Amino acid sequence: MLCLSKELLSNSNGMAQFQEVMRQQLESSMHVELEKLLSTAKGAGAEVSKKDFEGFRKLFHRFLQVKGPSVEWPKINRPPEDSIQPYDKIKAKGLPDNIADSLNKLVVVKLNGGLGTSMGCKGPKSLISVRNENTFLDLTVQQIEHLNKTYNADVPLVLMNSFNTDEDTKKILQKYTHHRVKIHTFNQSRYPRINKESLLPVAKDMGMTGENGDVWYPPGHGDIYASFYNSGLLEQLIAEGKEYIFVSNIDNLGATVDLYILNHLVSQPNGKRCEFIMEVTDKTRADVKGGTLIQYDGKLRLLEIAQVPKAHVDEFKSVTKFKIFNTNNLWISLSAIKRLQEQNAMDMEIIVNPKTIDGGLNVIQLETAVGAAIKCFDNALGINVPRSRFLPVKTTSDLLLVMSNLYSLDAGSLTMSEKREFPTTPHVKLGSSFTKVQEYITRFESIPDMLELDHLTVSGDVTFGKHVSLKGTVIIIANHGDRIDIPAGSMLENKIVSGNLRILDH
Amino acid sequence: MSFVADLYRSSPNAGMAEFQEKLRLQHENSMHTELEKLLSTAKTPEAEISRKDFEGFKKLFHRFLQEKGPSVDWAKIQRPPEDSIQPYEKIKLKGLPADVASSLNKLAVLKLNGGLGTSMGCKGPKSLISVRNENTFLDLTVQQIEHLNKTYNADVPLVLMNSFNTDEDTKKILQKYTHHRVKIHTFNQSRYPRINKESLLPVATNMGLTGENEEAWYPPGHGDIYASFYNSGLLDKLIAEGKEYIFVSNIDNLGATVDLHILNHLMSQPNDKRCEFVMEVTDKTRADVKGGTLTQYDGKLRLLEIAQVPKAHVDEFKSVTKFKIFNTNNLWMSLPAIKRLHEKNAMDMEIIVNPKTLDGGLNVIQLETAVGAAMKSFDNALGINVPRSRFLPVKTTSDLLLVMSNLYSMNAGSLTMSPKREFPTTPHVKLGSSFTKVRDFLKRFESIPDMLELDHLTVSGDVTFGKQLTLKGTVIIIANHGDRIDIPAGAMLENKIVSGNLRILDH
Repeated sequence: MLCLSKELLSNSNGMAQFQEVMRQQLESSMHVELEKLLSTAKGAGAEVSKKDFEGFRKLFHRFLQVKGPSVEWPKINRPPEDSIQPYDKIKAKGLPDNIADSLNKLVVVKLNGGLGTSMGCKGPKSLISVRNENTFLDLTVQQIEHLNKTYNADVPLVLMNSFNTDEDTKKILQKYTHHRVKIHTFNQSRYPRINKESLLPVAKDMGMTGENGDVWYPPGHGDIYASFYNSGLLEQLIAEGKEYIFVSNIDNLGATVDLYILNHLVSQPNGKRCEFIMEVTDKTRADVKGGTLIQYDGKLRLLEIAQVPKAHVDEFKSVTKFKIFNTNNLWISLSAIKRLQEQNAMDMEIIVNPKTIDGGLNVIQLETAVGAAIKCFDNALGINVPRSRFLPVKTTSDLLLVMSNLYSLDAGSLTMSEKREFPTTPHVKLGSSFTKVQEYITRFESIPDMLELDHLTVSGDVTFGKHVSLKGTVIIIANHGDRIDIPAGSMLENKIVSGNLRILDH
Repeated sequence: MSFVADLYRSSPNAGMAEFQEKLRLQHENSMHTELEKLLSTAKTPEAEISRKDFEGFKKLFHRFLQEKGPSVDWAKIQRPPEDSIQPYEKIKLKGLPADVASSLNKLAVLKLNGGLGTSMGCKGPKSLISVRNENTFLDLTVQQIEHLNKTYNADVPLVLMNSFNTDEDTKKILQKYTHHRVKIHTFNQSRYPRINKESLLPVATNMGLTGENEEAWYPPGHGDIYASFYNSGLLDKLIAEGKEYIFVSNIDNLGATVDLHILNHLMSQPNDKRCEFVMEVTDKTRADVKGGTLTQYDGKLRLLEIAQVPKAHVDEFKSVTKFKIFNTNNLWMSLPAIKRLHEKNAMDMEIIVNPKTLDGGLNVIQLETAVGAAMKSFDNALGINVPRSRFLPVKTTSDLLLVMSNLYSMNAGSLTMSPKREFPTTPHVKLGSSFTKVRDFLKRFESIPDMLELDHLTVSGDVTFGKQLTLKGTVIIIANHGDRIDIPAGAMLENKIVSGNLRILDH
């Protein structure tokens, strides 16, 4: 398909017409296949799936229409001076007397559709314990409850689940019944993976078991707009007087409700209603592929690496020109979402995500990113926030950091410990033996003291006894076939450890 | 000595104080006698110089016997006043005058060149180590000043403070700069006798520097600059030539170039006062927590070194929340002020007691002083908080690897971080004990790797690097005892851990 497509592109008007015919044929085939699938659906789920497939067809239609990078590089401009505000400037404005008024207009939405597969977990990632037996979800609930109690407010929590996480999450939600947080859920769409060659769904029926076990996918967090709207929850919240949602990844422990940003939003800067705020922060070397903000066609726009023409990728990664990246902490007007959704004006670039499923079949997933819609909202704004608002836990190396005494926990929020003299985050790299959470937990008898750590690298079969202290630069390398057991109580400061050391009970 | 120390620690009373005073007098008399004996063995031309050196030593010894314990009362230490430490950006904002040459012509550059490169396995002067494209520290220094003199049609001389360890070798090398547009002067630090830790008497048996006396002498730290500069006659000569200030720095600090904005600030007499002393300080990182810092004490700006801090407060001293800056040892001083203070015998510097063990196992001490400690003696002393780039010391081969690499660009003898470096931070480089000596280091690197995108490099054990390597991100190379790792030419290592055994041999 791809090869044929390239050849076709190089030709003339007759060819263009041929292309159009082929596109229509592909769309017709897709429509037929989707109707077949729907005919296998059980009663209750059928209506939901029908709506999901409407969304999928729109996406597929656009996928067939659009080709190549979606931006013309020369038209990219630097964002206007005041379109990205420094956080300190926002903070300098202070807070109003009645914070509860602002809070009562707010809803917190956490993106909870992800499994922790990259960390070796089977269930929802938000149910991984990250601190003193608290899960991501526990911490989130604690944060919002603390806000509600402190300011006598009513900020609800909304979880966007996927078909992968909904059932397990709902079971867990029972334990928060007596917490002062209203919790709602809605589900992302369920879209069919399509064969890379035929561009037709791989699924045989609407089931999710057996041979249909990995034929479905949640279509990225850009789906939030449609699924939020379709769930009816958007209307319900507007009816309750809510005006804004604060959306963030549930595994970003720095994404707490910031009262200064909320106040800025509610205060309608420059006399205009700001409908969208994207929190951005300065790039480090680890972030050079992250999406950034640009001015394009007169609007503030998110530019992702996937949209960049090949010849300009290095320029995109360069920090001298694009200094900031998107944290995916977003503040969005509820009524604007409703308006744009009803006008069918939510425009997000398609991300074509190729995958190989278990049998070796090559498939693609059509996805969108929530931040890409920024250009559709009026008076969109970036706020350059401190790094502390971006504390993602994607690996066990990240998990070690947040579990350690580098951070203090208070009312569900983590802040860097005051005892840390240089408020930088140590560089921690745990090797492949630590990738899965269950292995990681087995290998650390307790979490080491890391208050004075700058750099930790661990490779190979290594275990840590209790009450280990790590300072400065610590490198521990067990060669293949060797094992190193770090004795309980060890203090390692600027040390390289290699060789073989076993500690056995006697 | 421990017996004497015990006496010092006991509670004072009249009788005991009198006894202590007698003991001190006895020590001083014994020292005087021994020094006279040594002088009697001196050859005629050097005798007068040595006599002056010993005068300085006796003063130091006298003060050493008088003082005890930390020299500061911790409760009296205060934060420096707001304007006593100026941000460099503020200095720079003032811009430069039209005639830069007028200011430059009042300046002399003085490099502390008394050190050997022993910690890097060298025998001769450290300043003769090649650090960049076959240029030595001294070459780079001369190039920098020549560039200034040509650019601004100025006459900034270079003064080298040598020690008895470096003077002869340095003078030989100076011949090659005959046709450079830099006047170069030298003077020697004092030569002081190491003293036995127990008897407090000199270890030396005669004035010679060979045989059993080879280790009997030491250069007494850079605080000696004031006395030896004065005694050499060069101070008066420079003043007579119209020079007003010297810029003093360690010769192995490659960031210590003449900064025109600081010079201009000095010349412009801030707040209508003649500033006699500027100390460049910069923000501490974890590697700098032991560095000296600035405090306000007895109404004057003062350098506080860790050696002066009472034991109970050392952790507080190291804490970065209270003491955020440290001394780079880049210092700008008024020449007439040095003359005035020296002639009044008013140069007050704390004694640093530096214990050492000689090759034969004998325990000795060296009495030293630090040049920056005199700050409190100068009028209107000022700190300037400069960028980290002005502190680029080369103390180890790890530092040497950094400055030899493409992380830095060189122009007219000055190194600046390459504009191609995206994140202008200095990578953390730690080479293991196999690389400590410069000649081992050079042998193990066939060429210097590309380090433009390096964050962290750790190398341990018997490792060699082929030509044209690229190191990016975090690279860790560990050869266990008995193993050897030869990194192949052309290898690109990005975020890699390398361990095991790999030999590459010619065939």
